[in-house]
Amino acid sequence: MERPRQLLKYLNPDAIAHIAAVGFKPLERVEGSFVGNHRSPFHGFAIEFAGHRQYVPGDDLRHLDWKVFFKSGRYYTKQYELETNFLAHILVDVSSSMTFAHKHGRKLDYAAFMAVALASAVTAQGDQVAATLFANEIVTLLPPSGSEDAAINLSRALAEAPVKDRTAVGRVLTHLAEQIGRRKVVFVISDFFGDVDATFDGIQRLLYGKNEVILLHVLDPLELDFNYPGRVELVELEGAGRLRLEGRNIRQSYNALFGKYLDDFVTRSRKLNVDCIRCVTSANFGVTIAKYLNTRVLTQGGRP
Amino acid sequence: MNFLNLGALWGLLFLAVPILLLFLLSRKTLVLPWAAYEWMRDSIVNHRREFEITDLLKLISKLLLLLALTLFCARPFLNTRGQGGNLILALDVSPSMNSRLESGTRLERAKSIAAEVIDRHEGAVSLFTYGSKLDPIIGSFTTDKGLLKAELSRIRGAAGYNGAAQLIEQVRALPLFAEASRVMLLGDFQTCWYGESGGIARALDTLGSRFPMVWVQVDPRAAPDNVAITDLVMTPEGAFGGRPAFFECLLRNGLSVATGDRILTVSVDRHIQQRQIIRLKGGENRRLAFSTTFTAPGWHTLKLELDNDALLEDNVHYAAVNVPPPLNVVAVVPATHGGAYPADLYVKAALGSVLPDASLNYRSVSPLEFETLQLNSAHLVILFGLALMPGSPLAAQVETFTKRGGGVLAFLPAIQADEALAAGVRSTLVPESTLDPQHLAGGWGEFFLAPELKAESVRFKNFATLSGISPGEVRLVSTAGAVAAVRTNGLGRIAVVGFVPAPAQSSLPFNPNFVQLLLRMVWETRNWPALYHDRGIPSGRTDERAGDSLLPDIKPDRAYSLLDEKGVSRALTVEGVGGEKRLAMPLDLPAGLYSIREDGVERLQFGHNLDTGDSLLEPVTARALEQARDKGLTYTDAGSLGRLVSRRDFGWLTIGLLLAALLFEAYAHFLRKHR
Repeated sequence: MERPRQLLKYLNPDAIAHIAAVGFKPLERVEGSFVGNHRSPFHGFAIEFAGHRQYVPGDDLRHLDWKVFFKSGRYYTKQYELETNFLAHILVDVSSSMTFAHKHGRKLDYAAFMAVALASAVTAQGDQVAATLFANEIVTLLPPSGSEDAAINLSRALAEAPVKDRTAVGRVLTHLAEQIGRRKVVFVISDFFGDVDATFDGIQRLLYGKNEVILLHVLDPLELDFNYPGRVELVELEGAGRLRLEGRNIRQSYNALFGKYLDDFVTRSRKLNVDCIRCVTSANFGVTIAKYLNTRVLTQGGRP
Repeated sequence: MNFLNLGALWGLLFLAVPILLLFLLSRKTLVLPWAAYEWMRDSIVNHRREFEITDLLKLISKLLLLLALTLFCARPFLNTRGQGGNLILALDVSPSMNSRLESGTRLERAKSIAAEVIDRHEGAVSLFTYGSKLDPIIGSFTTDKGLLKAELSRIRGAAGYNGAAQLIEQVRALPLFAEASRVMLLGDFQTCWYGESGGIARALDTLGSRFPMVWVQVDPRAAPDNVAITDLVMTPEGAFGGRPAFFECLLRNGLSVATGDRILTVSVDRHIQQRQIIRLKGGENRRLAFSTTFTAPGWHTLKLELDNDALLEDNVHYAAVNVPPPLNVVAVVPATHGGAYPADLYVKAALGSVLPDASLNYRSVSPLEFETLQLNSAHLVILFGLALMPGSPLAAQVETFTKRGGGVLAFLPAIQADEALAAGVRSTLVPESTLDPQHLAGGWGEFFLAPELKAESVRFKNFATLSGISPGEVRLVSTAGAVAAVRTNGLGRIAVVGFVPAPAQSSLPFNPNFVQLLLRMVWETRNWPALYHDRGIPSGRTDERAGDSLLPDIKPDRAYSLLDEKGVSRALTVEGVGGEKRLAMPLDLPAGLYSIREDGVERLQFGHNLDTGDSLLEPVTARALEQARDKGLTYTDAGSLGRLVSRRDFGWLTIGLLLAALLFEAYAHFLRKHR
């Protein structure tokens, strides 16, 4: 018997309301299983007229354009835009590095809140959500679902997900690209600590399938600015290393190195036309995502 | 290095605090699981050394700060002679301490330094002064600083001085010397004060092995300008009314460098009579001659004054001159000669040429007349060619006259050997001889040393040499022997001369200096004390005529008083017994002109002067101190006194440590900021 608290651990109604109010609209055509509100690459029969094509045996006679036949004596079939729903794959990093917490809670919790909120918002607009929890490999795979239970299931999965040791975003993305097919929306929620080249290789594989990839880069404020003056012993989360140092002494050089990494990450994302949203755990995640979605709407396809 | 507040040194334990803190903090470290480990690791690899340096700099900075705070509280000082203990403090009060500095005198500065020493010294202090001897002001050790400073303020200068070696011996003889841990002398330490440098070293030896004796030089000047008038003498020609009297004053440059132009002023009877510009070489002693005419017999005052220099007290010299009444001369000429006796005429003319008529009464008598003559008013009897045979009436008259105080000038006949005998002086006939100028110096014949005169210019054809006389009585010497001598007989004097000043016997009367020679003979036999002055009463020197030894015939039943120029009188007491009676003069008598009165009647005047023995103001040279230093003597000046007395705070050390701490902190900050 599951406890309700565990099931609803990462459900944040305020954040969901924020995101659902804006909604999520894919920028590209998507391939869905059901009719929906999003443009599909396929043509079908619906209310949006798209054009004529010559009749071929086997076509449904209901779509013959008789007016054209009477004028030209030829058989033409009317074609319409196909509208479909989309499938959003939400990938959540549950590796050890995501368990880092200083003053604003664990990054993993922050990521979980975001993932559940996104899932809830997507299903609320009639689209489907599939979720993947991963570390150096896929840990949990939640099948596509359009029901509202998808968010609850995701919340439960995240609450129960075992924390794995290392991050291997690139390998997981590559593996996933082979499975999810084409024209999907992929949210990757991670701190992206690991092999950056491999990560972007995986992203490229996803993009090759015309998937829309959105990177949610989760960081703790202390990771962005190591503003801890005292002596500290750092224990490597994804390894066995230990470092003893004076915080005030290391701050400047660390900030410089880490800043360079972040700048590099953003630059490479832009080159691939991939949205990369920096999500700092000190900020309200609902606001962060809503702000991003608003920007998408305002730019009409432009990048934030 | 010693510390005033030794307990504050416990604060040094606090130096361990930053070290312990560093140690404890390094142990008490926040353990933080860290995700972005890769970037942190790279940062440390690149900057590990700098972290160590900055940590070290900051630790040093903290340590220096604590050290500065501790030292500030502990108040360190450097004292090479030890702190506290019993200090014998002695101030020089000799006349040279009246030397003027930019502000005040040496003595005032010494008192100021002594007050500072008393303030700073942690132990007990005894206070002495030294001039001619070591005098106790507070003769036992006391820690009552108020009392010490009160007594210090009352110290005044004194006359007289003594040598350094004697002073050290006096210090050694002090009863409280055994309890003393240090002796500090504040003075001017002139070169003259030291005497022989080896003597000081030997004297220091008596204090014990390297006993800490400190000499503090209170005068920072290397060469204070000073010329002193050290003496005044009258030339042997004496003083007669209406005739110039000749004086010589002795000037001394107290420095080894030449003086500039100095002005000497001579005042007679409080009227300036002449001025001279003088310039002395380094260390020069110069006799400066001047003359003045006293118009009338009686007391006259004489004041010599130099213009300003570092020490005013030795720039002035006071004297009183008692000009005798007109000279009454009785000349006895041989009766065998009829008419005028050539030698008598010649002497009379010679005296008449230098003495005004009012100052000379000359009367020639025969021996027979002389034998019956009343000589009450006569001052001088001149015998020409007369033998003073013992038992003769002539000799008896002369004997009586001289014993009562009269003067006799006997030109003996050079006729027969051993014939002449006067006052126990025997004579021997010599056919011919010349005067030897080498034997004349210091006697009547000094003037023969004048370069224009030659020894052979004075010859004797028939004369007598004298025997039975002591060297001190000889006045004129020829190559054959003494030809003139002066002997005291009773209260008077008799001069015996082995020739008659006549052309037949000597060429001397034709010498232009004979008149001067004659005047000297007359003045000496006249035996009239004319110059009254002294050079400091308590100095103990025997060659001076201090005011208390000038007055003869002191009667204990009379009242004596001392009157100064302003008319202030003070009573004098009679000391001594029998014929050794003397007047006890005040020891604090300032320089000036005084008169001594007996029952209200003036008996004499005299000039009182300060002892100029230590007016050589040049400080001792380092070379002279070398031997003494090895015996425990520390010679220093007031500026360096701080290291010899306690409570010399090292404020600069605290400030230096603070600055160093700041520098370390700033450098650590710089390293962290820019690398």
